[in-house]
Amino acid sequence: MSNLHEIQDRINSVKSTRKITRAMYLIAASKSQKAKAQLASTLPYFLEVASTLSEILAASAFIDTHFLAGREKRGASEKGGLYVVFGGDKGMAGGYNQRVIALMRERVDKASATVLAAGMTGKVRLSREGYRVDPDFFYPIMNPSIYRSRSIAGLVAERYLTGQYKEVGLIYTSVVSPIKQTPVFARLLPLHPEEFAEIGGVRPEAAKYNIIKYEPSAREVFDHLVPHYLNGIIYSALVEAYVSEQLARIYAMDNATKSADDMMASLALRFNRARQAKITQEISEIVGGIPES
Amino acid sequence: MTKTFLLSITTPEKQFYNGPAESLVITSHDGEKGIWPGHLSMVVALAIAPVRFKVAGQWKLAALTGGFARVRSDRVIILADTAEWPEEIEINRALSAEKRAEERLQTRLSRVEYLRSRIALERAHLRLTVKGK
Repeated sequence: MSNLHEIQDRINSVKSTRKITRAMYLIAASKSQKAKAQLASTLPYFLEVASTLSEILAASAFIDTHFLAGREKRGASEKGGLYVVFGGDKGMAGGYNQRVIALMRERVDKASATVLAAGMTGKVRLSREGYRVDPDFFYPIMNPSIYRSRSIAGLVAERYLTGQYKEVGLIYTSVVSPIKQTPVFARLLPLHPEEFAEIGGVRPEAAKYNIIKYEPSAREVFDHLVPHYLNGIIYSALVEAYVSEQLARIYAMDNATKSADDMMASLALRFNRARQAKITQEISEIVGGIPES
Repeated sequence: MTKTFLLSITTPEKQFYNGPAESLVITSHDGEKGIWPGHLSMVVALAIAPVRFKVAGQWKLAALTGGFARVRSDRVIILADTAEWPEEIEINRALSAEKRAEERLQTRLSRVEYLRSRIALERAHLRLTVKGK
């Protein structure tokens, strides 16, 4: 008898868990859609910034700025790196956080690196792993905004210019396809001019014949623009990380919902069997209990 | 027909303006600059100041922060952190931002904090100027 009740309780509890996983699945799906649309609307701005920077580099390749590779502050190359890591805000996203940490192990020297971790779960796990995580760096991943990435970009550029870091790297998860997200490592600083020509689309030979005046000076315009350029990369990485987390959660929650369905089906079967057994038993008791006349 | 150039003002959030303009007045760190069609190519970092441009004989005014302009003979591209039309500016927000920045400047601040507060104050003043108060 109690067996029937127990099975009924299990069914109810699986049912309510399924409601949660199903809701999380739907929320994650709509959030990732929104973030993707946002990313598309900011793209023209950043392409323009990148193309201006590459134009400056093409026209005056010898500007004296510490942002460029080969022109770093003295002694910076012996220092450790500064790494911005976008982990997950929350768990319940399958192996999302583990994959980010696995890449960290591979690419980052634990002893010398300073880590700026965004996303609460990722941050906690990284400090547990023994990385030097800056406690004052506190940003969520969710609902990425241009303001957040701008303050990250400003902070990173400012820190880099102190000459205490050999490089600034960014680790985030990139969206390969709806079911596949891969963590990637991107170098933010120092900037390499040849990579710029790729992104900005301005070839040195094309810019030679175009005389451009810079105010106040090419270097100042360049230094002013670098944080904007970093902002573009960081923002799109932030959105990608956010979308990846949501996609990982969609996948994890979809699986959870499916297994809840399977469990409910097998529990329903057990419930029906138990009920049938009870009825059969009652009948046989009644039949067996009829006194012979 | 009046000569025009193509003006586009883009922020990370949106395309703020995109269309022909007859002339444009921007403010760099050493003063205002008027730009007509056929201007010399240049890249200018913009001060926190209003920008004016003439479309079909009508002057339009906007508040830009953190911007720079890429000028070509037939095209001007302005990239800015924020761009607002006068009617989009919330006067109460600007007033309280002004007050906040002024109060902060009264206290002892580090160099960075001082600069930040100064810039915040300039932004508030810009919005109030553009709004016409």
